[in-house]
Amino acid sequence: MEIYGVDVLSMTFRGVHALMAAAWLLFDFIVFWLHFKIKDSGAPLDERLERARVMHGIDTVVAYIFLLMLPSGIVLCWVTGTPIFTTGWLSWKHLLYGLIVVDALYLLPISGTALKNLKAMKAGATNVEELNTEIRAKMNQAMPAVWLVWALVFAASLISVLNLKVPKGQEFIFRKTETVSSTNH
Amino acid sequence: MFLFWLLWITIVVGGFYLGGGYALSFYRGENGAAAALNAVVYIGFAVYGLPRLVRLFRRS
Repeated sequence: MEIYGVDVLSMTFRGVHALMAAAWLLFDFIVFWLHFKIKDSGAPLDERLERARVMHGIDTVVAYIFLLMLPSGIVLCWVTGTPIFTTGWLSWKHLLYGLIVVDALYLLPISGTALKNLKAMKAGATNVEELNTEIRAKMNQAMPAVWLVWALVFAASLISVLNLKVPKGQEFIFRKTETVSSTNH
Repeated sequence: MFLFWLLWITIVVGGFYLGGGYALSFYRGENGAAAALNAVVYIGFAVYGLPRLVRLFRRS
């Protein structure tokens, strides 16, 4: 399907895949920023709880992005005619995704601890000190892994950007040359 | 819960698909070290995730 010289199907999948990577990078950064207040036991409980709720929501979105990145990438390969198993740069990108999977499996049991503990405090738990210590320990344990994911997603995006090609027979990246020429005359 | 299903289905199905594909590609000599590493990593994920996915099926 082509509109104004643009292959809509291919561009849609390329765009969605790229936007998912961009959102992933941004959301990881927001999670990092939010965690400072959440683990700060001196901050008001309601504020910490609100931030933990936001962080949990963002984490869920990031989890969907992470899981849908693989099928969307495979569909993108099919749409753009890129061989999945014999394209060198894609193999290295898949290896980076493999490391992200390991990282995600490491983060899985940590996720949700802060929200659970803060909810317990709000409900009147008596072991506040213990719950705060656990929040701080889990957050400090998770953040290097979050940064590793960020670095791996950034590296994978860089590999893609460096291997971008203008489609055959096209002078412009997004539109077919003939369409651009005919509209200019 | 849906997220857990999605997680283990992606890891197991994606693991076997990519791991198998890369193993075949390496066997045919179409791709080098990266293919061999991917085959090991992704088949590893699939094997790791399979019992967890089976457990989810049994519980539902």
